[in-house]
Amino acid sequence: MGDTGFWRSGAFRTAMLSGVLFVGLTVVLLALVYEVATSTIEHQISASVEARARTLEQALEEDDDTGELSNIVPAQEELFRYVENAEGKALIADLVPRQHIIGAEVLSTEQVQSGFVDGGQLDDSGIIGFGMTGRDGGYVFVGQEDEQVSELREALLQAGLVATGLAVLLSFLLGWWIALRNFRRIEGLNTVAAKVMGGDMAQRMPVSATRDEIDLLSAQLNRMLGQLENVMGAIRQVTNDIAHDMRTPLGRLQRKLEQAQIADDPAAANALVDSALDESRTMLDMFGSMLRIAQIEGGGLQKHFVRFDLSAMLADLADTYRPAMADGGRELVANIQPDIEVFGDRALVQQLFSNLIDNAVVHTPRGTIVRVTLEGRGNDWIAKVTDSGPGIDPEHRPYIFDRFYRADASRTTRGSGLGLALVKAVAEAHVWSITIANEAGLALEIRPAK
Amino acid sequence: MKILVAEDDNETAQFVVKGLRELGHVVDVTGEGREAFLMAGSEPYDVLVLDRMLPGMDGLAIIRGLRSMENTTPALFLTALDGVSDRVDGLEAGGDDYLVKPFAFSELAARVMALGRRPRQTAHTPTELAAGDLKMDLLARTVTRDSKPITLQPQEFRLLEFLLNNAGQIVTRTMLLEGVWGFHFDPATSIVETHISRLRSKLDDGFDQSAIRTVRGAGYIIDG
Repeated sequence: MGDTGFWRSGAFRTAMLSGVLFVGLTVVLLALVYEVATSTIEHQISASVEARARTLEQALEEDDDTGELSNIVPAQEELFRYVENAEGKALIADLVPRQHIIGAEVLSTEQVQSGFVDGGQLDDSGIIGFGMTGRDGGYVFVGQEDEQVSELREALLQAGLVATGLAVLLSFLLGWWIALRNFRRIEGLNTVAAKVMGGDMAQRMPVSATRDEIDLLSAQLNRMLGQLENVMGAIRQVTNDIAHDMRTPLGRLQRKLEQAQIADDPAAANALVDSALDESRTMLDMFGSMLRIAQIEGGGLQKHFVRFDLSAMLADLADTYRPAMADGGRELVANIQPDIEVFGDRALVQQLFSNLIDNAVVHTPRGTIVRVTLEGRGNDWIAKVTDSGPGIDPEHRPYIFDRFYRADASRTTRGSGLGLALVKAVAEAHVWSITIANEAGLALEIRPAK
Repeated sequence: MKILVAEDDNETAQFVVKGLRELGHVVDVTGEGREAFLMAGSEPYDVLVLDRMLPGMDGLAIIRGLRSMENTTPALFLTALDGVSDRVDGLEAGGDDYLVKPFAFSELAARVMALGRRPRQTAHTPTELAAGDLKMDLLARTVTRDSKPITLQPQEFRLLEFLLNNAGQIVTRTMLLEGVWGFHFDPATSIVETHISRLRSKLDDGFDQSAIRTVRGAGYIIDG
């Protein structure tokens, strides 16, 4: 893990931002609770002292006996009473206010220190009080220390600090964990990408079971890598094939030309040159076929597509091939349903079926029957080229459409090994499927892909 | 014939020019597109041999320009492009034939001759073709040799028609594949040879001399 990379990562930043928001929210929430809780308690105390003050004021109206009054509202810890009769004489004086406070009042510690005489019993705290003048004169004040409030304040403040601290810590840890997790996963993708760029095409992105967006992305990238691997493999294969398949005829060409150079007999030299020319023609044909396949696979042929009569084309092809096949001891049987039309590139479709027939001729012994059939209706037709020859071993079947693949590698047959590769390319360009039917000889079926 | 060769590859140009001059043609040569266009527009040539890719102005543009000026001089494209659509593009632009490099000189010579002989005005399509003692009625679709009727299969008829259209000229195997069967590739099966052999045996039945002559290494010819 690159340290700077981690701290700068989007995931970490996002985690930190949400952490800050979370902590801020916690603080606001705690402040609210603090505010509500303290004011509620202040109100309660305030109500309680007012009630006592009123009680004392009523009692003072009836009787201004200190003992009596003190019985009605007895002395209590944290409770301060001050009662003065109409003559200004203090009857009860837990402490003495310097001024007559009227109504409810919350007095801070400083106000208490300066506002009251005989604050000897006063702790270092404020007072919530209520003062009123009596109806017949006199003055009553009841106050209570706000120690409860301060205690609550302190408790809330402590709880708030702890909660905020925890929130900060938790959000940082959570953010760090999420960021680290994401960072590691992205790092994983980066590592794989670097390995792939380094040439290891088999590498795949890790996909976890959670199927989140990174997994979906990884899965998609893996599909892309799979495609790339196939394409690269195909390119490598083709390059190897070209190198291999072209060396052989080139070697023969060179040998023939060398022999022609040293031949004494002009006739023999001429024959060797002719043979060398044939060799070079074969190679040019192979290059031509490869270029053509590449071009067909490259796409963009559709602009030349026309509707034409496939039945007529196949019937004509049968007539074209029949004599030459008869001369080679093979029979061509055509069974073609008329008026089946297709949409495609005439020249390429013609080459497709010619290649299929050529293939059936080249790879079979004399006496073979080659059948060309076409049947169906509308866009649901099926064309078949079948031969009664030896067929192809199941193990070779998946490869017969590969470039340069020859099932009968041991046997010497003509052909470049590109005929069926071109057939497949043309069929795919037309969105037709080509399949090997399970019959005695080789039977290839072409039909519109479903 | 007077022939213009426009080819920027010097080696190919010399190979073509030398060969055509040896056959007795008058040959002008240039390697630049605009010059080729000016020459073709101002001099009466019998055949133009144009490379598809020329500096200055490419072969397609030259032909389009000439055709728009109602110049109908037959043109043969030489090209290294053997794309599926390249031939179609060339013919659509107004080219008359198309030859992919590398080619055998005999192939080029045969095609140039065929183009040079092609009648400029095809206002009236012939209803009858003849060469020597061979006669072909295109309407009745009958063939006679020295008044003896000969029955032909449809493809044999097409093949003979093509040969008669080019009577007195060598017709190559590739020209037959393209012209008679529409094959722009070389099939592994020897289609041309077999059909020629069948046609020949029908035409020659009862005659001493073969109607179709094989020119070794070049093609076939029906003497006119």
